[in-house]
Amino acid sequence: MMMAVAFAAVLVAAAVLDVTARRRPESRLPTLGRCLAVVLRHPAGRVAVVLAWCWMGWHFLAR
Amino acid sequence: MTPSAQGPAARAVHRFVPVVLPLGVLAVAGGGLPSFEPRTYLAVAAAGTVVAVLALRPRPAAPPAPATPPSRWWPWAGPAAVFGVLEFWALLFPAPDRPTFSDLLDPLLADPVGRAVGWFAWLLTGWWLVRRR
Repeated sequence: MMMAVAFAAVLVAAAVLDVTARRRPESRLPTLGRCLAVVLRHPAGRVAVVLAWCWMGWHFLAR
Repeated sequence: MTPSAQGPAARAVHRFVPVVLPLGVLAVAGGGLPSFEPRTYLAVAAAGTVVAVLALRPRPAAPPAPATPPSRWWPWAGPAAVFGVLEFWALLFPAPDRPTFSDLLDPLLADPVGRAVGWFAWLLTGWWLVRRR
């Protein structure tokens, strides 16, 4: 139960950061998409993100 | 009336319906696939291959540099680090009361509806990766 609460808290924190970034542009806090977009600009980062996405499908949806 | 002559809501509908509907149909189909079956592995591998090929093909032109780099990215390191610590702790010291994130999602993804939602989120993210190339 404690782990479920902890993981949920992490997800809520990420959601709060993303909403804050969208509602308060003056905070200069990037959205999660903006952070990922920076990583995707580099070829190695793009490959890493796409591979991570493929792994998530394999890990969560194929089993 | 062309989409450009409509309001933001109509433009959003014109933009997303052609994507969301097919992805929704695929997600429902994916949600009906059983676990650990060859056809499930095949479906995930096929979708993954299509998105990987489209997302990793060479760009037609260099992407424009952002006007202002995200200078305050560091708050994102907090949730990411905590998630990593929790996951590694659960993996390195397994116990019944210390499930991994995957273990917690298993009951949700065992249900066809939850599985379809998972498929939809995964496919939507893949579409975003293709669009971001």
